[in-house]
Parts: sequence; structure tokens; C-alpha cells
Amino acid sequence: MAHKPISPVTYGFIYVLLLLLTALTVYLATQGHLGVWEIPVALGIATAKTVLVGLYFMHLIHSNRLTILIVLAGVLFLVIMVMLTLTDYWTRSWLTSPQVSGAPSITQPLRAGHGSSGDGRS
Amino acid sequence: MSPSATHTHDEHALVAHHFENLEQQRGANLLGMWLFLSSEVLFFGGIFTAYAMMRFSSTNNGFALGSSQLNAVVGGINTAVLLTSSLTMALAVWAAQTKHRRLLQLFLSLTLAFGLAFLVFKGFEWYHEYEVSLVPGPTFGSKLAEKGDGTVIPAETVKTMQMFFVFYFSITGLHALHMVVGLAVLAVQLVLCLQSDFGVRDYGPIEVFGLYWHFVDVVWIYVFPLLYLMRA
Amino acid sequence: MTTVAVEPRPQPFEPRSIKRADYLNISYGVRSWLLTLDHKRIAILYLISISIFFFVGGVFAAVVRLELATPKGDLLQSDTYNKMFTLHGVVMLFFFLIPAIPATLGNFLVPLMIGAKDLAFPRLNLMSWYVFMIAGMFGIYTMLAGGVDTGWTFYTPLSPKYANSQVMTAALAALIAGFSSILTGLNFMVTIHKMRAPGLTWFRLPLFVWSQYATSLIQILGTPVLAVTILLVAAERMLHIGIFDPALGGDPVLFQHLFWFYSHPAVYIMILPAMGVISELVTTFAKKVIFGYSFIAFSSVAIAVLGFLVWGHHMFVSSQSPYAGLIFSFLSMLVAIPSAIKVFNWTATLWRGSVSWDTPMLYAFGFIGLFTIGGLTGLFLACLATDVHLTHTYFVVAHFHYIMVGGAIMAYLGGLHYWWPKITGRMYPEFWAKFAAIIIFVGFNLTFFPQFVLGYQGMPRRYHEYPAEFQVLNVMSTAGASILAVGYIIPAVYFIWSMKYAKVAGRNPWGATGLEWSTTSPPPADNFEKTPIVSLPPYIYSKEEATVVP
Ligand SMILES: [Cu+2]
Repeated sequence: MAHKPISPVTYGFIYVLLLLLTALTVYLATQGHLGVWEIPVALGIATAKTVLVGLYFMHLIHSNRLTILIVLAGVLFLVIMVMLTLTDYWTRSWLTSPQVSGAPSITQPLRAGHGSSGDGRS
Repeated sequence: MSPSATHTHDEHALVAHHFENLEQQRGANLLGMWLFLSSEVLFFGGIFTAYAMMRFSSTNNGFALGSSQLNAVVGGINTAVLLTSSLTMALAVWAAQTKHRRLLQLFLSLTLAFGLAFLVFKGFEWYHEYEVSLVPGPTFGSKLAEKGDGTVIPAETVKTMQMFFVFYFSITGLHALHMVVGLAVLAVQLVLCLQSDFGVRDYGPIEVFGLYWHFVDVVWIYVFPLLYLMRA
Repeated sequence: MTTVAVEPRPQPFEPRSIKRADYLNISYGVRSWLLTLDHKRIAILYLISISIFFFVGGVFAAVVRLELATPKGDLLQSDTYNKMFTLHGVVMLFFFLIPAIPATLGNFLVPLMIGAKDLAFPRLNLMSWYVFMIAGMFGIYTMLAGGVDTGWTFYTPLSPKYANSQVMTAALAALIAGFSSILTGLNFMVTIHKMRAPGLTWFRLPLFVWSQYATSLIQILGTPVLAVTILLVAAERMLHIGIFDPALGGDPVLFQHLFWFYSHPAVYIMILPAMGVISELVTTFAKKVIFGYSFIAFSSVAIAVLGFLVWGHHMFVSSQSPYAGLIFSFLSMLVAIPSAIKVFNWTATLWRGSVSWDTPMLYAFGFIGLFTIGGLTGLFLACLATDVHLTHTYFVVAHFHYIMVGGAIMAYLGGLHYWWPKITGRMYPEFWAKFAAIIIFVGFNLTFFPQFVLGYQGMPRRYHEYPAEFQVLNVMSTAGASILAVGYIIPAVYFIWSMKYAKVAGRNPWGATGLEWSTTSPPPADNFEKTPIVSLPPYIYSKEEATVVP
């Protein structure tokens, strides 16, 4: 607020960095063959870009603690939602139920058209 | 309007009666926008969570196949367009803060132009997907076979692909809706800047809108890898 | 933000003998109300709207209870019955309980309690009421066009696929009402951060303000998830494409996750402000500083955060993974801790206080008892093993009515009586008020206590007929509901009567602390003659307390 505005040169620098990161992530996805690392790397680059936009374009670098706290609260609650939902999806296949022949396995809740093999996702 | 002792002469006209001074008003507006954006994080977060869970629990490669139907380079170029509009928006806020009226008008116009360009690109992309039968519905995937290398995709996988495209159209649609709202506000602010000293007199409104615009950009920064780049 | 429809300037010549200008008589006419930016008038608009919805929701409840007076389904068809309990739930939750305390008492009191002239965004405040009314229109359309029968939870695949009632408009009503709730929360949060009077530090805030703050957090961060979930259901219902329908490869349990991520914390949107009201009532009528101020303040925030970690306890039998159930069961137990802290602190406040038995205090006592029962039975349901037996029975119905009716509505009524002199400038008739409070307490317990027994014995919820052996308890419940209905009608009558005929209240009829009592009743449009300066913590009723408390 009362802070000196960020200079256009800084903005330009950040912008170039953002473009480079975009090019990098496209390159890695199309030519990279990263296998299991594909998703973490893509999300990591996206987070790096978000941090740059947040800190400079959205002036978080000069913001008070309250603003940072609000941003973190939003992120925290999103993480809570993802992680606790994941506890369900992740552990559904852990429990092999005593199978009565023909009865649907409880480890495969209501997924139509899915075989009753019960192997789930490993 | 009850003038309070803390008002300077200039400020007085800009401050609503229930605020003590311009500083308090600006702080309140910024805080309000940040809270709104944290709310938006959870709005998009809800659908991202659904996407993550369906993708995680999927038992075939339909999601990855869906991703590879999209053109990552076109998506990347569009990402660059949106990032550029974010840059011009940041510069517009700078121009407002430093009271460069002409530059403010220029940068707001550029932001508007790049934002529109993004939507136009997006529209073409959607049209292309419509043409190759990737819009979910009874005819989904009817033209997939013509394009592939002859291997038949199992029906289950096509069903999962369709689910990917339900997410694709929902997420990009909601994002585009946010763009449209942003462009409408931007257009109003631009007109006000052209007609009056709006923006240079008090940079508050431009700054607050800028936050929204950058946020929409941030959403796309995640949409792009989640939808376009997860092909394995 | 330029001028305000209601010009708040006090008369320059200050003619004290002539009628003083307050927020009620400063301007007249429908326009001056429908375009007002004054938080106090908007609170009144909300008060009128939610009272109407409370009445409507009550009628649906009455029909449900009448049907259940006999074991046979003789009054209603089963599908009509489904619509009745669904509409009761939708109206009471989205149109009464969620806005009840925040949008009326909160709207009126938050600026007064923190010494501000208004909320930070008066236009947004008015807009939230209009958004709420638009949602209300969708709700009313739903009722007139044949109702909705999915239960207020809109579970999939019933709501997007099989239900052939007005699911779309009902879901839209919930969605739009959610937006108005977000706007209210956002407004409060900014106001509490930015508009406090000089000297009013965080630990000098009244506990009602703390509870509103915690509530706002839930409104802002929870409600958007409900919004996007409803949009997904709407897409699935209208376009027959989606992510919840097993036939399309989707997962209905995913809907429950997203829905309860909002809807469990939504319970705290209803109960946290109620707890805030009780904190105010207990100190005022014990004439004593609150016991454990910071514990009560932080427990509000703790409830708001922990409340987001427990939603899976609604899904123990939904084919959610039992391991997830284990985690959710454990986390649910944790929420009991901050709630218990509050109950103990209120009780401790009474100790050696000079307790008076005015009507608001009767409601406060009612709240503490009933909320404790509701909270403890909640632990039965949070416990994985007992829930398998009790879920989908009347035990659940009894439990959440103890929280929402015994808790939230008791506190709402207590708060309404307590601040009525501030809102209208007049008292209420003490005899009738006490009479109604007792009637409500008796009627409530007679209605809902038998339902605990019914549920324990295995009577499932949401059926319009039941085996004959359950009849005695059901008749008791229906009889209690009639008493409860009378109890709710009496205050409606005397409140309206009191606005014209009751005794004039004066600034501070209770001898309470708090900035809202330092201004006139009703307050002027700008709330205070001049901005108050705060130098003490709240609830200082004696000299010793003033010296003990830092
Ligand atoms: Cu719950």
C-alpha cells in the first residue's frame, strides 16, 4: 500500500521467467518421457509460476502477514479437502473382504462396468 | 458525509462515509478481494479434487488418452497470451500508482485485448473438439477411430475419456466464465479511465481488480498442466 | 461508494426535547428500506425474511409430525411425505438456520460491538439480502411447482438421475443462498479486521464477535465447494453427462465427500454464532466477567478449523473406505474438545455470579443443557461402531435437532430477546416471554427426546409409516411438536405487539457492558454520536475485575 511500486523492469523479468517455465513444462510433457515424475514435475512448475505471479504481480512480497495468512488458509483448506478425500480413495482397495461368490466387493464401490476382480488400483 | 479530522482535503471526496480515511478504505477493499479469492480457491478446488479422485481411482488409461487429444502447444501459446495479459495488468496498476494516465489507458486496453485473444483461441479449441466428437454425450468418440492408428479403444476406456472431457469442459468453461466477468469489469474501468481521471486519482479500484485478473491467470496456470500435460 | 440513501447526520441544533433521530425514524417509506445501506435496517430485512421462512419450514414439519402420529401412512402418500421432509430440511437449513444469527443479530451487532459506523461494504450487504431473496424465489417456485423429494442432501444418483421432482430449482436455491452467505461472511471478516474502534484490540472484542469471525471463515472457505458441487449435479441432470453416475463411470460417493466438506462445517455456521450469543448472555446475567475468555475465543476458531476435518462421519456406511472412516471417526472426537471447553467455561462463569432469571438467561440455560445432550449424542454417532447401528435412524434426527433447535434456535431466541430493546427501543412483556421460553423448552424435549429412544430401538428416518410398537413414542413426539409450535407463535405475537405498546427500554436495560449498550436505543443511523474509544477488556462488571484483568 504505502510501499514503493514494483518497477516495470521487475515485472518484465518475472514475465520472461514465466514464459520460460511455460515453455519448459510444454517441452517436458511432449518430449520429456518423465514417467511417474510427469505429474509432480508439471504441478511443481505450475506452483513455481503461481508463486511468481503471487509474489510480484499480486504484490504479496510487500503484503502484510494477514494477506499471506488468508492465502495460506485457502491453500490449507484445499489441501485438507484433497488429502482427506484421498484417504478414502487410496485405502479402498486395502481391505479384501470375505467374498461371497457373486456379491460385489466392498472395495469397489459402485463403479459400473467394472469387473469384480477386486484388485483395485495399485 | 461527516468529515473526520483524519481526512486530508483531497481524500475527502474519495472516502465513503463509514471509513476514517483512504488508507483504511483501500486496506478493506484489498482484504475483501483477497478473501473472495481464497473463496474462489475452494470453488475451483472442489472440481480439481473431483478430477484428482476420479483420475486416481480410474482403472484404465482413459484420462491420459483424453489429455493427449488436446494440443499442448496450442494450450501453451494460450497460456503465454494469458500471462501477457497479466503482465499488462500489473503494468496498468503500476501506471495508476505512478499517476501515468496515458499509460494506464494503454495497459488496460492491452489487457483487454489479450484477454479477448485468449477467449477467441479457447473458442477455436472448443470448436475443434466439437468437430472431432470429443464433446461428451451420445455421440462422444464417434470419430475417434478415423484418427487413430487403427487400434480400437475399449468401450470402458472411451467412457473414462468422456469423463475426462466432462472435466475439461466444466473446468475450462468455469474459467472462461471468470474471464468474461473479468473482461466486463475491465471494460467498465477502461471506459471510466478514458472519460475521467479514474484510476490515477485513486489507484485502489485498479489494484483490487488486478488481483482478480491475476487470480484467473493462476487458475489457468494449474488448469493447463492438469488437463493438457498429463499424458502418461 | 458515494452517498448513502439514509443521510446519517444528526440534527445540528441537537434538540434533545424533540424526538431524536434514530435509524428507524430517520426516513420513511418502502424505498428507504429496500434501498437502505444501513446494516441495522438490512438486519431487519433479513429478520422479516427468515421469520417467514421459519414459519414455512415449520408448516412442513407440522405435516411430517401429523403423518407420524399414526403408524399407517394415512395422511400422505409416501412420495408426498418425501417432499415434506425434504422441503422442511431445505427451508430450515438454507433459508433459516444458516442466515439466522449472522445475517440478523450479527448484521445488527457486529458494527455496534466494534464501534464502527457500518460494515465495511454496505452495498455488498444489501446485495447479499437481494441474492438471498432471489434464492428464496427459487425455493418458493420449487414448492409451488410440485416440491422436491431427494432429501435436503441431494444425494446422487437420485438427484441427477432418478428423482422426477423440482431438483434443479431446489439445488439452485441452495446454491444462490450460498452466495449470499459468502458475501455476509466476507463483509464481517473485513469489518472485524479493519473497522475496530481505537483501543479495541483482538482480546478486547466481545466473544460474539469472535464467534462471528470464526463463522465467516467457514462461510468463505466452505460454501464455494457446495456451489461447484451443485453445478456438477446440475450438469449431470440436464445434460446426462457427468461424474457421479456409476453408469457413466462415475462415483456417487464422490458427491458425498464434496457435499459434506461444506455441509458438516455448515452445522458450525449455525452453532458457532449461537455459542457467541450464549457467551454474551451468560456474563450479562451472571454480572460477572467471563471465565476463560481466551479459551472461548480460540475454541471458536478451533471449531471452525477442526470442523473441516470430520465430514466423513456422515459416510461411515456409504462404502467409503473403512480406513478413512477410522480417521474421520478419530478426528470427529477432537471437535468435542473445543465445544466442551465452552460449556465448562459458561458454567464456571455462573459460579459465584449474581445470576438473574430474565428471559434471555432462561434461553441460555436451555441452550447449555440441550446443546450438551446434542453434543454428547453426537459422539455416539462419530464413533464408527455405534454409528453403524444408529445411522439413518431417528437417533440421528434427534441428535441434530438437539443441536439445531435446542442449540441454535434457543440461542437465536435468547439473543433476540436480549437485543430486542436495542433493536426496537422497547422491552418485551416479561411474563409472556418467560411463559413462552418454558413452553418451548418443555415442547422441545417432549418432541425430540422420544426420538432418541425410537432411533435406538431401530426406527429408520424418512419413512411415512412404521410398525405399531413405535406409536406411543411417536404420539409423544407429535404432541410435543404442537406445544413447541405454540411456544414459537407466542413470541411472534408479543414482539410485534411490543414495537408499539411495550415499555421504552433506554440505553442499557440489562446493565450490560459492551459498546452496543453505550449508544441510544434504537441507535442513530451512524451508530454512535462519536467514535468510542476502548480502554478495557469486555465484561468488566466490578472494580476488582477491572484490576485483575490486564
Ligand atoms: Cu457432521
